[in-house]
Amino acid sequence: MRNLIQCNNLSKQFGSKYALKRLNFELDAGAPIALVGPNGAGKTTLFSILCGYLPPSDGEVTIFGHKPGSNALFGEVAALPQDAQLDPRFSIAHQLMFYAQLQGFSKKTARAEAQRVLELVELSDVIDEKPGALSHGMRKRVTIAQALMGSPKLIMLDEPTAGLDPKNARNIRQMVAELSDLATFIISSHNLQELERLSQTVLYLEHGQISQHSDISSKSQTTGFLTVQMEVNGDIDPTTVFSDLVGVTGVSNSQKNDFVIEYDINASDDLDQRLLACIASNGWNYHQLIKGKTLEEQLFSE
Amino acid sequence: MEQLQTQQITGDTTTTSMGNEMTSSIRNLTIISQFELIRLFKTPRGLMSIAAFAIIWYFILRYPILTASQFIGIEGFRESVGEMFGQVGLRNLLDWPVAEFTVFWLFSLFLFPVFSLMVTADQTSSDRSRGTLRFLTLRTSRDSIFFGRFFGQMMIQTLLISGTVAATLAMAVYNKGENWAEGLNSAIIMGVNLIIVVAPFTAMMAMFSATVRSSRLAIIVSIICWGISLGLINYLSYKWPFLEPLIYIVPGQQLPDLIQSTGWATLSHATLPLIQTAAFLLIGRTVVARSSL
Repeated sequence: MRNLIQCNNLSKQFGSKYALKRLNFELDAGAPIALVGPNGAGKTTLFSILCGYLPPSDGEVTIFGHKPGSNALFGEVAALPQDAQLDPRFSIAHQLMFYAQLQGFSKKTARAEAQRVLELVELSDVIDEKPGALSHGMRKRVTIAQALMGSPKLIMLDEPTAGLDPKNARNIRQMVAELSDLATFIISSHNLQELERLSQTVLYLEHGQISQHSDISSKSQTTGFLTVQMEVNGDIDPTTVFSDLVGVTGVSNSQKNDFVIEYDINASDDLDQRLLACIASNGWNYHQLIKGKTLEEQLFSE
Repeated sequence: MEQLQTQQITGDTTTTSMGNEMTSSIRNLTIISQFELIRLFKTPRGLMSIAAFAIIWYFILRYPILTASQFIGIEGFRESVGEMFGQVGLRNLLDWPVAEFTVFWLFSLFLFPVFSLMVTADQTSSDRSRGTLRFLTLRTSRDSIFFGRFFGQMMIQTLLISGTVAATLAMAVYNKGENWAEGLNSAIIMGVNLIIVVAPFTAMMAMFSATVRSSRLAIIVSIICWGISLGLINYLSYKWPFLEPLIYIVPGQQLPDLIQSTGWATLSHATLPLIQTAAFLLIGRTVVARSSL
């Protein structure tokens, strides 16, 4: 698998405060990667360094073996930077065609490329409008469209669905899923459900450091998890009931109506079926049964 | 859904396949500088700027230049004006063969630098503030953006200078048709000189524009720096005369000498503004290369 990003002792200081502190990680090209962390954790700073907007204070980072911002990465790396806006004086077509020309398209083909990427975000009908005529969500989708121009190998999206209505957020997720065979996406978001659906690898940043670097799909050889979301009625405590099932080694009630069941994989390969039967026999109404833990559970349960 | 496949056109329409970074940089520099022309001629704000410029120059041509040139044309009046100009060191002004250009030269040498300061202040500042530079730097080098914007502004000013020179020539020919050849020669000399005159001011604004986040601030900073530099250098050179050459870092220092020159001899004063232009561009380029976006 092609090496995507290599980070060695990467630090970024603003004054005396560390926004990133000695980050070390390697990422391979492939399935979408999630960048998660609380506000102020350093996600946008990391994005900015990867895009070449900010120089690191210390350490090294390479993308496809090149320094961020170097000529070799033009057209290879695309991004939706946080808070960046299009020029209000020019039409969407004018600006996207300008970007396309800088990426090597001729004047003639630049218009077709602008049309193509706007179609991807379902905004082809606004091509001749100026940004001021669009809603906040539409402007965001146009800035996502500019990141899809040409054939980038790495697309970094900082909060791509923040501020979008559910339908358009879903369209963006769907688009990322469909394009993820052609480019590696790195997505920063606070929407963990969204990242769970899209991503394979998660980088969890906290206080400028990577506190977790995990593969969502990785499975333990011995321990499995089931997560059940259900409404509880009556006096019976589901935690006790689930603990009595054969093979269950632990049950936690992480949030109201959310139960995480830890079990021995080798001893109970039919636990999911027995669990559903147990829920039915107690008259509980379940909403969702997930094999494994939710991303939220993985990140915050300890 | 269409695939995110390569649509970067092959052969003659694309440069990426050439694998030549230099060619690609020059190509992008050209695209960026051409985009500056679009900014002037295809946006309402740009068109309004052109309209304001045209109206100002209409009045300058119609009243001071036309009226003064008619007086200068009168022999007795010309002699007395010559004596008056001589007292303030401007006698050579009357050596220009066409009276209209004599007055145009006087006005344009001081108006165009101020105009340049005002109109070229937003080379990169608002794009940085808005974040648009972030879209650009993923596609082309910071050098291409910086120099592309500078050359774009120079192209715009070249067009505007050419317009005013052509209008002055047309007026001179209309008034005294037999002077058209001498007028054309003066027009070319003045046009070339004015482009050289505005170059360091444009480069200085490129530099200030790279350091602040609005054109207004760039203008304010440039005026403050210009004033402080002049005052400080004058004070220092009064105290320590060997520091006097420092005055040459301030753009426009050649203007008093230039106004006393005529014909192609005016180009003997081109070295200083060209060196200043190169110096400001070098500093500005370094600032852009190191700045955070």
